[in-house]
Formats: sequence, C-alpha cells, structure tokens
Amino acid sequence: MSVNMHRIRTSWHKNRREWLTFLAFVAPNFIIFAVFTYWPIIYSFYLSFVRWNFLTPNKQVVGIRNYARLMQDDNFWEVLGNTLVYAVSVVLIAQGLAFLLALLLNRRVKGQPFFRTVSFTPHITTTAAAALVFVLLLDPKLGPLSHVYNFFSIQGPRFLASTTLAIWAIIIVGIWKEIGFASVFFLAGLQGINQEYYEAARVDGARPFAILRHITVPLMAPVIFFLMVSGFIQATKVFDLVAIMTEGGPVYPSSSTYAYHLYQLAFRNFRAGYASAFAIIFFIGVMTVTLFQLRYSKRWVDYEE
Amino acid sequence: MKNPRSLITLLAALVVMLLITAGCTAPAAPAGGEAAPSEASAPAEGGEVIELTYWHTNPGPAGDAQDELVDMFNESQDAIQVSSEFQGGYGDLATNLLTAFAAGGGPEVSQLGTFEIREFWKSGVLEDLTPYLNGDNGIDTSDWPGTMLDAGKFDDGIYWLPFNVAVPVLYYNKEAFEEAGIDGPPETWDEFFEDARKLTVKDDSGNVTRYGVAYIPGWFSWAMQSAIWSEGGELTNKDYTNITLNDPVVVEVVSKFKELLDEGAAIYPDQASGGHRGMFMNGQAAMILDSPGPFGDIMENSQGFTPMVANYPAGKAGKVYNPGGGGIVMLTVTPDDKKDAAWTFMKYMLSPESLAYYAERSGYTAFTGAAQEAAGDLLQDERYATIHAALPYLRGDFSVNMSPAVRTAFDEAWQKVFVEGADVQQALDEAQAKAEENIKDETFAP
Repeated sequence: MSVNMHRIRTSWHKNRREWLTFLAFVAPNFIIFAVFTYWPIIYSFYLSFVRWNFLTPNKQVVGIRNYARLMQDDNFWEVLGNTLVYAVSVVLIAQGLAFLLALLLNRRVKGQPFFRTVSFTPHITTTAAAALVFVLLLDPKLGPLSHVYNFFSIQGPRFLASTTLAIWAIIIVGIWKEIGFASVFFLAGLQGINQEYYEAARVDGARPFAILRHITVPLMAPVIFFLMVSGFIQATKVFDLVAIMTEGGPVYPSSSTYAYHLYQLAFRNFRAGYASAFAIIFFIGVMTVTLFQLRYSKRWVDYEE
Repeated sequence: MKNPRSLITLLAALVVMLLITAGCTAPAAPAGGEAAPSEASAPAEGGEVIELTYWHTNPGPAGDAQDELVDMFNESQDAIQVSSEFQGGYGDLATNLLTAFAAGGGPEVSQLGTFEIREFWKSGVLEDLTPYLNGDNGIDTSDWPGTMLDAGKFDDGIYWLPFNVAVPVLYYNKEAFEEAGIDGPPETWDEFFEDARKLTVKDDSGNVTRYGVAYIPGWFSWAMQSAIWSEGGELTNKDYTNITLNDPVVVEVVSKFKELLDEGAAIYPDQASGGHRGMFMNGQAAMILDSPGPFGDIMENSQGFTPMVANYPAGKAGKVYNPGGGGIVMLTVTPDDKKDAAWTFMKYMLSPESLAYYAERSGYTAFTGAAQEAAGDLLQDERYATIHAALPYLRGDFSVNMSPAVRTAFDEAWQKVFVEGADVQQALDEAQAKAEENIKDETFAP
C-alpha cells in the first residue's frame, strides 16, 4: 500500500510538468466545451423537468410530466418519423449516388479536378440559396419542370403544397447537398487504395464487378462507415431547409423535423421545459445510434492499420 | 516550485483561462442597451444626453421608415439620443427580446408583434404604460379606432400600444368583375362566396384558368378571423376560459371557404410560387384577401388588368375586422431614470406627424384620427381613403395569436381542411380538444 502510494507520488512529481503543460493546452478547449456544450446539456436536462418560459424568475418543477406528455404528443411522433425518413433517405440515396460518382471521377479522365470541384460545389453552396432555387425548380407552373409537364401535357405535382411530397422536396435538396461532400471523401478513399490489388486481380482475370465487390468495397468500408455515421447524425439535425422551404407545412407538422419543431416549441411558443425534454430525447437517441454503430461496425469494417 | 518553468507554464495556463473567461463575459453585456449616461458621447452643450436603444422589425421601407423616424427624433431635441437596431422578422425580434431579457438586458423601447404580448406581459417583461398615457406628457387616445387600445390591456394596465397597424384589404380585378357582370366588390361575405364562383373561369377541358379567389398560404387564419367575427362567431374569449374553435359559426365559415376550394373557385397556393399575391398579379385569381402590405407591389406590377382595393365584406354582425401589424412597448429592464425619456420617444413615434410619415413610407395605416388629418394629401388618393375606411371596425383582440395552444390547434385544423380535404366539423372538434388540453401548459393558463 505505502509502496504503491509512494510510487504514485513520485510519478506525480515526475510528471507534474507534463501535467501542467497538458492542462495548459487542454484548458482552452475544455473550458469552451464546458461552458458552451456540457453545461447547457446538463442544464437542459434539469429544464426538462420544469415548466418555464425563459422569462419568469421561478421555474415550476413538474417531474416527468414533460416526458409523459411528449409520448402522447402526435407532433412528437410525426416530426420524429419525418426526421428518420429524411436522415435515412439522404444517407442511403446520397451516399449510394456519391459512391457511383466517385467511381466515375476516379477514372483517369481529362479535367478530373474540374469535375471534382463541380461535384463538391453543392456542399459549399449556402443552404438558404440552394433551398430557394429548388423551391422554384420544383414549382409546377413557374419552374423549368413545367416545360416537361407541358410537353407531356400532365399536371405537375405541387411538391410544397402536398402533405406527403413536401418532406420529399426537402429530402431532394438534402441529397443534392450531401452527394458532393460524400463523393469527395469516397474519391479520396478510392485514390488511397493500392493499385497493386487491382493489378493482381486483373492478372487473375477478375471481372470489373468482382473487383468492385471484393476489393473496392471492402477496402472502402472505413470510409463508407465514417460517412454513414457522420452523415446520419448530421442529417437528423436538419433545420434550415425546413425553415426556408416549407416551415413545416403545408399542414404543420407534415414536413417539420425534430430540430425545427424543437425551435418552434422553445423560441416561438416559449415552452423551455417541454422543448428541453424534446432535446434530451434527441440527445439520447443520437448517442444510442452512435454507440450502436461504433460497436457493431467492428464486425464488418476492417481498418487497415 | 523548484522549477521556474513549471511556474511559467502554470501562469500561462491561468492567463489563457482568464482570457477565455473574460472573452465569455464581455459580449454578454447588452449591446448598447445599458450604456450609462456618464459614458455617453460627450454632450455638446450642458446636461447629460440620455441614450436609448430601439429595436424593430419590418424589412424594406417599413423598417427604413422607422430608422428615419428615429433620426428625426434625435435631430428634434438634444436630451435623448436613440439608436435604432433592426432585429429581423417579428419572430426573430421576439426571440432576441427574450434572450436579452433573460440575460438582464435589452432595449428600452421596442417594436413588438401581436403574438408575444400576453406571454411577455405575464412574465413581467413589459412596462405598464397607463401612467404615461394618462400623465402630463400623455397621449390623447380618444380618436384611436375601434378597440385598438384594448389589444395591450391586461389587469387594468396597458402594456402594448399599436404602431404599425394593418387593416384587411380586399384586392380585386376590375375587368374580371365586369366580365362576370358583377357590380363592384362584395358587400357581404355571402356575396363574396357567390362572386368567387362567378369570377372563376374554366377552359373546355375543365381546367381552371382563373380562380375566383386565392387564399393566403400559411396565415389565412388572419383573414378568416375577420369573416368569423363579422358573422358573429368567436374562437376564444380573452382569458381562454371559453375556447370555441368548433363554434357553429366557425364551422360554417370554414366550410364555406372549403366549398370554394372543392368547386375549383378558390385555390390554396403555396408560398413558393409567389403565393396568392403572385396569382392575383398574374391574373390567375380575381380576388385576394390581404392587407395594405402588398399595395405598392400590386398597383405597380399587376399584369393586364386594373387592380382595385375594397374593404372586407360585412357579415351578420356587421364589419368586424382583425388588425395586423405590430405595436411598440417599453421594457421593464429600463432603469427608472430613463423611463421618462423612453416614453418621450414612444410618444414621438405615435405622434400624428410620425404616423402620417410612416403610413406614407410603409403602407401601414395612419390609424389615429389626428394622423389621418396629418396625412391629408395621402388620403386624397381614393384607394388610400378606402383602405383607411376600415379602421373604425378594427377589433383590438389578439387572443388567438397570443396563445400558442389556440393558434396552433386552429392553424392545423383549417390547413388540414384546405390541403387534405379533412371534414370541417371533425377537424375543428379535434382542434378544440387539443387547444383545451394544451392551454393548461401556458404560463397564463386559466
């Protein structure tokens, strides 16, 4: 025991300088995180058990009432469903397309950097601007699609005026923005694959599809996995597209998402406690998904190093 | 501390921490709001200048005109200096006020829409203006229209004063009316629904080429509320002890609007395609129920017809109109020694000359009798005179707007009816139940 303590003490002495240096480097970031991230999370957890409107000095403790109400709130389930539909669709469709795009871009074609830049542009386009452009594009009477509809003399769908299609209009823009981002990552991954594998496979007479399936995809698994996790979490936070394209309508909350509804609850309806319960459920959900994905990914992702 | 370097490292860490915490607190001080008089830019001659901050909304001319009024106020005297700050839309303004108040700061005077008045009053954000209104430096409100002064009245205090007042305006296509053989705009709501049918034009294959009326996407409840009140219906009483979203008159009025949609005589457009205003200006809809907001745009940019303005129709209860726009408030964070100055500024904003100037620049109404006199030239224009003729019928009651429970339940119901074709009675019954349940969560629950 005492020997042990002694050892710890000497190591502490020895490492004190290192410790202090470590602290000096870590402190700035840690303090910023603590003040702007960890503390709000903890405080939000507390708020989820009270009734409060941000303004009154006293917060009325209501126990788990906020959570109980939430379970019976149609809007909660609807925005949750919308958000999952959005996130899953954007991740699967955008990344599927991005992978194909990356395969194309990976060929040694003339002007590859140009095409790469073009495909990345949607990601750095201001969401607000992109959303507005798509609102016009999708308009059945004013947009360019109207020519297509007129050509076939059909009535074009009014995406934003339909309770079922409005969320898909948002998904389309989400996909468009995500493809560029994912394809650049995929391309970087593809270019990191050792060409010797391909040469060996070709010498063995493997067909292109077999090469894709047995070499490219397995070696790309870490990239695919990373993009799916980060893409999914990113997608569940969608807010700006909803705010600009539909405001959750045409019949609220038919195209509203979790983050947008949360904002409405907190800052338009002033229900800080109830909105905090929403936020905590979201936090737990995202954490669960992340941990689940990380844990089970080990089974099928082979990190090379 | 044998090793001086470890001390230096520790000190460095402390300095970094201090810098960061200092950086955190510095911006938290309310921007400009609390500048002490002693710090004020040295007044040129004698006396201390009182500095105030005014927050406002309204992009475009309606916002610029407020900045101009503030400049004019500053030039008109030496004692008070107001800085005018634009805060975005009505919702953004309210959110910013909320966060500023929560942090113990904010402006002394602010514009405020109609949705947050009750919540802010209940939370002690708004100053009671009654003593100022009735004081020596008060305002004569005897010529204020309708019951506008009631809008901000709670528990015998007045906490919100109307400033940018919008009235309902019916825009109609003169040639379309002539074509349909209709003599002038509808006088009653029943006439309105009949006219909409007569004004509808369909081509040989049955496609509508011109709708009788295009509804406002998103906030049509604002227009419908005038119809409901005019027909003698109520959505809620002021303290929410009697919510009546499924009142028979409400059901009847919403049903009539739905019937027009079902018959193809009306359309509920989406915001994207320019909404109802775009359709009216392109001649695709013969009428819209709106406010003075788009007046300039419609008069200048309508294609191929003569746009005209009229008041909303009357119902069984006569003309009862739902006002729109916003007002101004004084915030309770205002230090006592600045309150008189804040009121002096508010009084300036509400002076007949200011309101007349604002009406001319913004399209909102010169809503007081004295302001209309001051705006004499403007009202020579028959169209402005028509718009202003609606003022006496305004009902200063924003109870529906002010309760998220009632507002969202009603919005969801009529949107379901218009967009999904839901049954009116059933949708409104559900809304009623929802509103009664959710009202319990409001800070001002009965």
